[in-house]
Amino acid sequence: MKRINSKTITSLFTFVLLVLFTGCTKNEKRLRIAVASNFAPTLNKIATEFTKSTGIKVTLIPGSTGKLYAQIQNGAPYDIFLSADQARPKQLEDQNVANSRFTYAVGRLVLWHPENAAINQEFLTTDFKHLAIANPKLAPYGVAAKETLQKLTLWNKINHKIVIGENVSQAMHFAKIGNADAALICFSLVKGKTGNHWFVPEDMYKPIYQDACMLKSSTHAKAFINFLKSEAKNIILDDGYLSQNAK
Amino acid sequence: MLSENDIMALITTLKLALTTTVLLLIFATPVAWWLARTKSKFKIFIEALTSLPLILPPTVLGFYLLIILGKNGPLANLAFSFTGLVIGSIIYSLPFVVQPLKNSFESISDYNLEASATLGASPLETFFSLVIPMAKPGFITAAVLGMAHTIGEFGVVLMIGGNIPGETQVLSIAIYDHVESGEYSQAHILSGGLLILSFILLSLVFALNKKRKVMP
Repeated sequence: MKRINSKTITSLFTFVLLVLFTGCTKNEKRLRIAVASNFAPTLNKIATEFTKSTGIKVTLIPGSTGKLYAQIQNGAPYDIFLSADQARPKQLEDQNVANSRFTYAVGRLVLWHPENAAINQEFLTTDFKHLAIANPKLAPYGVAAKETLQKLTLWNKINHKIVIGENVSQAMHFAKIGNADAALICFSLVKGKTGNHWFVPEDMYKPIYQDACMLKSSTHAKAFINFLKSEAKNIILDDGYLSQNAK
Repeated sequence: MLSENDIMALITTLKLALTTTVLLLIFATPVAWWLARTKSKFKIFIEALTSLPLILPPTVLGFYLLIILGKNGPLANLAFSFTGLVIGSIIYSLPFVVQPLKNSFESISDYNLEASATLGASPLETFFSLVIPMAKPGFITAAVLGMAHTIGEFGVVLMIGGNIPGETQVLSIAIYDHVESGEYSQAHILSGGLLILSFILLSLVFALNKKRKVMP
């Protein structure tokens, strides 16, 4: 009995060590990019193009801007951070955690309805059940949604009807599966998809400048930043973002 | 069917569960032994301490771990790493390993231990050739429960993991990600797989324990 036990334990150990080692060698030289959820689908396309032309593999870590920012402050090992706002990359720069900050996209807010019903501003004053937005504490599009509702003096009135997703894609998801009637989210997520959207007039919310910054300097990271500034431009515009100059 | 990310999540999950279980069996055995045998008045406090993860929300654990493992914490820069996840999982699954071990150690009577000592066995010899075989069902239950509980871990990983594919993205997080981005078919595959795996694991425990019950 004694021998069987020590044997099983040793073989378990060896197995664990083996698995550990094979796992370690796998992810070297991958560029880790933390990206705000709204931009994740676009970045996916960009990353594919980037890997095609440079051979550098990229791992995306999508999440809300606020969550990723908190993770970076706690030492998360990301190379590049694509935020959905300007404030957080700037704060990271002030803390000497980041550098090379620049605006890579300007976002637009839409009111989206999953079915093909015509939708516009009036919808917000109708008797709907739930409206999904991203968490204003974590997501810049949530801030823009809140600003819009405040501008329309609806924020306090429909407060109890608002469901909050951690980020824009969760907010969209709430509306998509019918738990919310509509969602105030970014245009890029709904462009080309089914459903109907209404562009929220740009004077209703502060412009959503999305900034990128480099967290760990390396030739690979620099190559990606350059790619984002040049070749990726068309993909970004195609996905429904504005360029900074147009604003 | 499974994307590269999903396969990496599966490997990370198994790696995490195995590492955690092996380390837990090593660390929890002396603790459980002490709890089963001691007459110390501190016993209740230590027992309460090891059982805390049962009732604490994972977010509480995650929050404290983030502070301890974070940039300015005493164990700096372990958050968002695999090692950090192992530390978190060991704490999170601790009661599931300590309790079954403690119960099976308690069922070994002092008479057996004394007999072994009378026959000239050292305490260590007694432990390996008497206690471990006698407590085998306890070890099996502890190992399977510890492993299953680690596979099902979500809240702690969400807070200290950072969702990095191939490093800290485990199955439960990958499922959450798929659902959140509307990729239901992938979420179905992973969820169904986990459901079946958990069912098999638990059936195994009950089957093994049923067989053993005849013995003592």
